[in-house]
Amino acid sequence: MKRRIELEVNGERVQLEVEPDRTLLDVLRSDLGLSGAKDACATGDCGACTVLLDGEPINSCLTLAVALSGRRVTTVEGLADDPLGRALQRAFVEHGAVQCGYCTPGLLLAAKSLLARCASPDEAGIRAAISGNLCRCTGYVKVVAAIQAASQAQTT
Amino acid sequence: MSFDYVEPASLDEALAILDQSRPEARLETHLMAGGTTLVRRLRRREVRPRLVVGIGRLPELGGLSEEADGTLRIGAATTLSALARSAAVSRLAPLLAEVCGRTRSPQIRTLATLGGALCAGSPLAEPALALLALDAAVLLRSSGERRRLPLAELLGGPGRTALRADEILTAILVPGASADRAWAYEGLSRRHAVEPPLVAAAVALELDSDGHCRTARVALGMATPVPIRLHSVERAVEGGRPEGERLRSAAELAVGLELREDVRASAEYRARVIPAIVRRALVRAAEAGRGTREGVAR
Repeated sequence: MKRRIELEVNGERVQLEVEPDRTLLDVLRSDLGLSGAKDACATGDCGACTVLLDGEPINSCLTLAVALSGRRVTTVEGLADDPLGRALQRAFVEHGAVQCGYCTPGLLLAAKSLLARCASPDEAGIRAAISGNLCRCTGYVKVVAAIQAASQAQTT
Repeated sequence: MSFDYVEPASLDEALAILDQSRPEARLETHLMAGGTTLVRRLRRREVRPRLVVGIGRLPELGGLSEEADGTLRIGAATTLSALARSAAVSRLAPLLAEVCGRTRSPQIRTLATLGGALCAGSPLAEPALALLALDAAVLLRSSGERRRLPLAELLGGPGRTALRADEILTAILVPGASADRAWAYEGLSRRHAVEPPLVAAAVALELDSDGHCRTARVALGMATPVPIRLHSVERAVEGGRPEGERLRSAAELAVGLELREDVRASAEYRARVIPAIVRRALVRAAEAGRGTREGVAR
């Protein structure tokens, strides 16, 4: 039986009617057309489905949308809404941190959450913050460099 | 194949829902706090609930407080991320803060709760190891009864806990006596995150003023069907100075254990590495103990 829920997604209030067994990932992709978050491993092991819940990273494939009524969700599509998000986007492009792009939405959001909480993380802090995001292409070196550059751009 | 979802407003309401489920249907009523265990099982089609009861926001399951006798009381729905960041936990149970801060991944830690980690009955729940080494107990409530169990009694076997079908785990208690113990957590992992370690040991040592070990707690997990205490290792460490040959031979007593075999490591491999991991944890805990005593006026 469908339940009515209300979420704030990228700053906008949305009302939805969803079956209880639907994940947040599926609702974002299918009902809201926000396909940035990816359904890759389905078990919370890869981070390609990462979105921010009240600013903190979660695996949207492991959450039921019905349990999140009243919460604030940020997806990669909302990244350009603020200077930090835009700085991260620029840095990822400039530093060659994107190859196939599948992991990129999740990485960007994990990085955004980190830099919002800690303006100048060291390399260990950056690697810990992205440790839940698997990347098959880049080897992470340029991803870390991009996040460092974005944090420097923010603090100057 | 869907299920009903209900989010009771109070613990009493949640317990009444469990009572109202017919006994044979109780197997199909699942509690959900953070959801990382339940939703994973749903997606792998390992469970088929009829009713999911959302308890993650129950006010009675929240909160973190230090009681008058120094006990740290942790609400069962407290997330691993909140525990890792808590100043109170860093002060009163730093071993728990450390382990919660490195369990699985940042994404899992945002949602996963301490109570949920214990009730999942998984051999791979790292926070349970820390809590065993800290002599933690759990509080269980049903509509008619309150129970307090030592953690070891809750953890029955793989996939099983002592939690009854009409009970909710409401709080985890860490005794104040555990706060000053010298501790270390040592895991053997192929990756830095996401994948649980193949073997992990949590050690907490109570040292007296001349550096002798009065009380030793050595918990082993990831490699065993449930996290366990290594009593023979503990007895070998207690009563003397935790250093050198004493620790080496104590760690060698971590043998003859029932070990897991899975895709990531064989039981034989685990048997070979366990004494080394236990020794490393003992050595690091002992070093932390010496560091604490030097230069700190107590």
